[in-house]
Amino acid sequence: MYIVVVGGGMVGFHLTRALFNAGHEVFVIDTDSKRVAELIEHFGNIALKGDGSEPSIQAAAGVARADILIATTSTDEDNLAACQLAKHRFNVPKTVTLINNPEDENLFDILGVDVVLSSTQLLLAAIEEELPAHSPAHVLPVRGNREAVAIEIPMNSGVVGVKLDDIKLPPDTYIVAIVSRDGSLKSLGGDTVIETHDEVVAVTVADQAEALLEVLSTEG
Amino acid sequence: MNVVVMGCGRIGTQIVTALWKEGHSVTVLDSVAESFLSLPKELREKEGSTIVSDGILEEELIEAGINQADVFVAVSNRDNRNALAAQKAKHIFNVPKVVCRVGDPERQEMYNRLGLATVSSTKVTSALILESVLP
Repeated sequence: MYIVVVGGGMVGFHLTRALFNAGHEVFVIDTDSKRVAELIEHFGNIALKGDGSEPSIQAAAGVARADILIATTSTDEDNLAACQLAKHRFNVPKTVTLINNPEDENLFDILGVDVVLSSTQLLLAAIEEELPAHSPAHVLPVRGNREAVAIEIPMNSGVVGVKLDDIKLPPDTYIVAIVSRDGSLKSLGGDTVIETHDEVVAVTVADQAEALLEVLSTEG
Repeated sequence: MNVVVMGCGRIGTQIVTALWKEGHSVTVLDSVAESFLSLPKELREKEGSTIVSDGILEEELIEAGINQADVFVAVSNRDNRNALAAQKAKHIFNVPKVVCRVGDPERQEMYNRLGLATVSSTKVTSALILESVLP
C-alpha cells in the first residue's frame, strides 16, 4: 500500500519505520527541515519539507494515489485540514488522525475522518487499566481465618477527617495501628481522626477484607 | 444579533467594530491579549466583550456565548485554525450562520463544496487589484 504520513515527529518517525519494515511504500511530509533530513538519512528519499495541509505539497507527495493518509502532527487543526484535503480533494479512501484535544473526536467523526485516535484517551485507558479499583492493600493471613490488612487512605476517601468512633467497620474488624504520612504512629482512640495518606492496619475476618477496603477507600 | 468573532487582527478588528457600531452584541476571541488594543476603548473595556482564547477549547467558546450566537466568524490569520473552529461552530454548536476566512483559494473552494461559507482574502484582494490595473 502507499501511505502518506503528515508529521514526522516521534510518532510519525516510528510509524514510518514500522510501515516501511512491513513492506509498505511510505512518504512523509513535515514542516521541519531537520526532521526531513533525518527521515531521508534513515529511509531514503521518502520525505518532503512542507505544510501537509497545502494542496501543492500533497500533490507533490503523490497523495492522489495514496491508499491511506495518516496525520500525526501535534496540532488538531492541521491534522483535520490534512485529512479533509486528502479525502475531498485527492479522494484518498482512508484517512487516519491523531487528536490531542479529546473534544475534537466527535467533530472529526462528523466530518468523515475515518479513524480518530485520541492520544489523551489512549493514555487514560492505559492508565486506568493499570490502576486497581482500590488503593493497593497489603494482606497478611492471620490465625483463625483472619487477615491483617494495611491500606493507604486515598485523598478522596469518605473516611478522611472522620473520627474512629464514627466509622462503621465490618463485623469482627479492629483497627490496630494508624501510621501517618511522615511515618509516625498515631495514638489510637475513639477521637483519632483519619487523614489522607494515613496507612491503616486492621485485623479482620477473611471474608470481610473486601468490605473493609470498601469502607476505607470509597469516595466520600 | 449575537456575534462571536475569532481572531482580532486587522480584519477581525474591522468586523467587530463595525458590528458593534451597528448595535449588535459582539464577543471577540484572540490568543494574544494585546490584539484587543486595536478595538475602540469603550468596546474593549466592556465586560465580556473580549476573551483571551485561541478558540479551540469548547469551554472557552461557550464562555464567549457560542450557544446563543446567531453568527460565528473565524478570521484569525491561520487557515486551519479557522476551518476547525468554524466547522465546530457549525456542526457541534449549530450556529445558524458561520463564516470562515481561508487564505488559500484552493482550500477555500474545497470548504465551500463541503458546505462551509468561506471568504478568501487572497482571492478578494487580488481580484480588486486586477480590477484596478486592467483597463
